[in-house]
Amino acid sequence: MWWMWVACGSPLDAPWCSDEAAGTGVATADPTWWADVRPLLQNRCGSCHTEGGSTQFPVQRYEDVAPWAPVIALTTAERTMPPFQAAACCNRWLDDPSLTEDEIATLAVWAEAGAPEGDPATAVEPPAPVGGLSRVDRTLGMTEDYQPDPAPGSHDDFRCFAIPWEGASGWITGLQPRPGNRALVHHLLLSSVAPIDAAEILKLDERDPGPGYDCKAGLGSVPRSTPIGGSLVGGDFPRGIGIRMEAGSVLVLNLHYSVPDGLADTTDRTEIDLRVDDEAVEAKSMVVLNPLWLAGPAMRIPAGARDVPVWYSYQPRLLTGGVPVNLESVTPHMHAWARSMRVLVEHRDGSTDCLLEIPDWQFGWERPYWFVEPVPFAEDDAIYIECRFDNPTDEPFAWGEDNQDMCAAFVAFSDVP
Amino acid sequence: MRWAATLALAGCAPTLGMGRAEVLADRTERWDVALHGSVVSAHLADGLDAPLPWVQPQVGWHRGVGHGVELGARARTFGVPGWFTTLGGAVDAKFALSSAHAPVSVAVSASVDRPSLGGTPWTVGGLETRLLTGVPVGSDGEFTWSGRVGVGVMGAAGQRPIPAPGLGTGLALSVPAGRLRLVPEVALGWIAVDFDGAIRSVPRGATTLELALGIATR
Repeated sequence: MWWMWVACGSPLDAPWCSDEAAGTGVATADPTWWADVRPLLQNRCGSCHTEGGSTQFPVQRYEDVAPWAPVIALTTAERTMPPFQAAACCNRWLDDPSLTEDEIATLAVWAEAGAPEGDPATAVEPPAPVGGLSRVDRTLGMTEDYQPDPAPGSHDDFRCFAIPWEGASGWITGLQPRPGNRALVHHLLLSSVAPIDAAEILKLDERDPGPGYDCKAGLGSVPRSTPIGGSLVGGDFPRGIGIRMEAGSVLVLNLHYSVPDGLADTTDRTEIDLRVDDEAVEAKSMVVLNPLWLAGPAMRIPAGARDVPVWYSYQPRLLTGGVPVNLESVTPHMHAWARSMRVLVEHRDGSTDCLLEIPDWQFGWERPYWFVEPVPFAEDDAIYIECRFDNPTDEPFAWGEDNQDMCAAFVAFSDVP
Repeated sequence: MRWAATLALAGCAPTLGMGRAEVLADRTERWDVALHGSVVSAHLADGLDAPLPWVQPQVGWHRGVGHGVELGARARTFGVPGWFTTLGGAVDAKFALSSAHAPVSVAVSASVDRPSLGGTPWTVGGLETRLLTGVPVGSDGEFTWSGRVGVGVMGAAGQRPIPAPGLGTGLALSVPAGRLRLVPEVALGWIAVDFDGAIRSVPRGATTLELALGIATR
């Protein structure tokens, strides 16, 4: 292919596990709302699709759900819902709401049969919804409404809001974003800034008129920040993991607004529920990307090109201290033109372990993926990242914000006990 | 990450090491060792410059070949294998334009450096031309000014190559010390390279400040 001539080498030979054709599911015989569909939807969809949740369309009552049965069958068959992008063949993650092929087939058969309600006496008590915070200790967020102001010709506005961490030091051990205006908030990232840099961040906020400050260049001129979480899906961090917040530090809420036509005059005030503990297992963070992608045409994707890969392998001894660690989570970050991503551990003997594989990237569902079991990472292991892009436009794009793209993975790790 | 990008852009390919405008006489040679320090600062946004310090030792050998021609090579490396490393070298050719009281020469260098911060190594190739003008100082000493233009290409597996033209200026002083010479040098350069393609309304490029202290045979 043409890009082979301009990008040195070729991506890792190891196949994408999602290239294996998915099997056809076997539906439950004669599925009904009470016996089959209700427990399924409430378990996998109920944390967001509930009264007062982060989205519309509650799934708790038959009369709310039945008219939407064909849509449910379609979106689950396309795997656009539930919005969990990681391929199940790669690893196992906490709070994974994705459906099995059998479950998708059951929903399809139920919709085709006219969404039968069945007998309430056959009701199966639904398991607790996937995700969500076990408790809320503190709620922080924007202190005033903000009206997004995209540049001419763009729908996107990236805005940061500095939120001082008041009171004593503590550990954030879980979070749940609460977008104020779901129609505007595309997604968010939350980072912490140490007390030594707090004044600088607050100055950025003061200098920029209006609530918050422009965030196109990341958090601003402060290099020392720790990503805490992202997406609109939250929950407890596993295994007692926490992010240390020193007294006097600052949380930075980095909001990506995508303003649809007709909503230019609307505002948002987003908050985040936090679980806070006095003690926790420290999670450290590394970002995996080729720094040169940020420069010049290194990540240039030509107009009209499809499935163009960039890749990078990184041995993070400078960050892990050259000792074995446990990998706890991966948070992928790409933009709208991205097609797919995978993140692997490369062992010294050439073998690989899959950390994350997203075969069909959807920008709006960026989120952290916490492993069910931490992934051991030896001192001489490397992390491999590969992103693929389509460019359906008439203009090339490269690394950047508006109408451009990125390829990065934030990897949380902890010391081996 | 932008800091690391600036390292690969220029920090590992020192433009110093030529020392004098005077060209070595036929069949004479010069060995030198130098410790280079550099600060590369990328202009990322209004009021946002990312400085990166770097240091590495370099050894060089040059020989006069015929009248007014000098050839040579330099090699440098630094780091801890598996953690961070640089490995690079250059070949030099210097031609005398004037060997009068104040020598003038032109030098051409081709270099290759491979820095790594633990990841896929980057390869930085460069071609540079320098005009060197010397003023004698004392007995066998020289004060040297140089102007330079060049182009670098930075590549690695999994990315497209980045072409980056640059220009700069430098000062050096060559001072005899017994059978050796002390050669302190300073150079200021600018590399034309963009960061974050979407940010089009801010100054671009990376500035390099290099310092070196060399010891050369006479």
